[in-house]
Amino acid sequence: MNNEQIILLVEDSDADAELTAMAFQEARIGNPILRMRNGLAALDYLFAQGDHAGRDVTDMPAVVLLDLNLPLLPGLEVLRAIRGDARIRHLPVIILTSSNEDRDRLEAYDHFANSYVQKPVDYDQFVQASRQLGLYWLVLNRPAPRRDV
Amino acid sequence: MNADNANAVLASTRPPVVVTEGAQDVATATFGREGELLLANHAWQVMMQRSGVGPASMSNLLSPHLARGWAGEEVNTRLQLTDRQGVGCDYQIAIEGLQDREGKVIALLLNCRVVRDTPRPDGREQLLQARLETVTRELDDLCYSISHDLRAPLRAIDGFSGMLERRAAERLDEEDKRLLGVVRDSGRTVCRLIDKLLLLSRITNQPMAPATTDMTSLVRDAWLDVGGEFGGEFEVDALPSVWCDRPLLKQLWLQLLTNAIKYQQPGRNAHITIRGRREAGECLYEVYDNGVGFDPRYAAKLFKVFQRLHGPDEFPGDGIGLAIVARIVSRHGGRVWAQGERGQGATFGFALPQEALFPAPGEVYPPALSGH
Repeated sequence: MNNEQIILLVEDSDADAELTAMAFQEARIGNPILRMRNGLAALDYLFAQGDHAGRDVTDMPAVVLLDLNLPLLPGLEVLRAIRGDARIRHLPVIILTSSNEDRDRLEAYDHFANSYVQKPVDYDQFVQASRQLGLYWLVLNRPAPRRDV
Repeated sequence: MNADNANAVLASTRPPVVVTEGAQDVATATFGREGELLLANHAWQVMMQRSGVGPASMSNLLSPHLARGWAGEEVNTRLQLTDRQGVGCDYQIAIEGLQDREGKVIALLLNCRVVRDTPRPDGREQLLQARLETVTRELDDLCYSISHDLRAPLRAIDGFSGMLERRAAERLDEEDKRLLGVVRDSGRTVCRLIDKLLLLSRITNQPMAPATTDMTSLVRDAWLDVGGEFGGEFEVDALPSVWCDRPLLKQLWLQLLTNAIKYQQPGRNAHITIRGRREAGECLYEVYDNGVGFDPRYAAKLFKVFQRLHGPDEFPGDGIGLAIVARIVSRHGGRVWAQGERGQGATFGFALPQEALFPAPGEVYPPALSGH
């Protein structure tokens, strides 16, 4: 596991962001979590622009945990932008949301989400889910190799 | 019999019978000895489509009148049918015998004219329809918000109180921990109730795709899902098939069977029986169990949301199962009932209209006749 690679958490709720960080910590996932509060900030980070101008754009997060209901730019638009850019389109994106509605799941996969996880309300289950997510996406999964564009 | 055959039959009679299209608002059909349809004009097809009546039912409705026609009577009568939207519509029906040269009746000609029409969608109807669609959409959005936005604070309640429980474990005494436990349990209960309400809302709003459904196999199918752990006797009679939305009816059976399994009387050999019959234009189904039963004074409460007749320590549950059953049955234009005594078992039943109130989209009767 590359412990240096960050997990990018795009989440507007402070409570949810803190809970997610706690759950990952409790699940013993050591990767640093970088949190963005809205969709635009997430894209600025990923495309190394705005506040993040000058960042090395090829230095990608290990995985993006993306909420659907986000201020400024909804989660699905963030996903569309990621999939539309050759430099980052292979980035693993996990939709992490409260919703279990069919239409949300369908739209997420229509926009090529890698995975869709409903945040459990039960904290113990949330820790369990975080452990499995970390194990799969940070250890087992082999990401696409970097490519020069 | 196709149109060519029918024409041949009619052509062979003397004097020759000429069937004309006639005025388009008069539905005309010709019937043979067995009540079979020989010929029909376009207006007849349109009328059949508009009336929510299936072919078998129409034949039942007409048969006494046709019988009078065969007996040589001239029939002039009025028939009320309910259309797909559930609006009544009066038809004036005239039946006369078509005779061959010897005066023998060889076919019956039926003319049918709408007397009192169902209201056509005018400006007001369209306005109401648009309003209904808006309300439905608003309700959908509300349910969506509930599912999405109410879960977040509940997750915070559970997560942070859990965290507090762990961090302060050494400082908290048993009573403090119990109190924190109550907070967490309550949060989870609210979450479960939200999920159940959403299920109920989906059942109310999801589009239906009704078809003739084999109820016996549907019950067995549902039993495979929930009956695995059941140690008693389970029995299903041959049940009448019925016109219904299969996924919704499966939900209904899952709820009824789960209940019958759950409310067993301790120490009694459990027995669940499913029976069904046709009666007075309805298909009736009943689930009998010999479980704990209920106080019959409260039977009507059973089908209401979140109403329970047993405490959660006695039998766990949210009081939503029978509300789901009632909702599904009402969407099919049917009715539900419950009978029971404390300690004497319970019977839960429902009836669905035997014939479609709402033909499947695209269903046309009679099939288009060749030559039209």
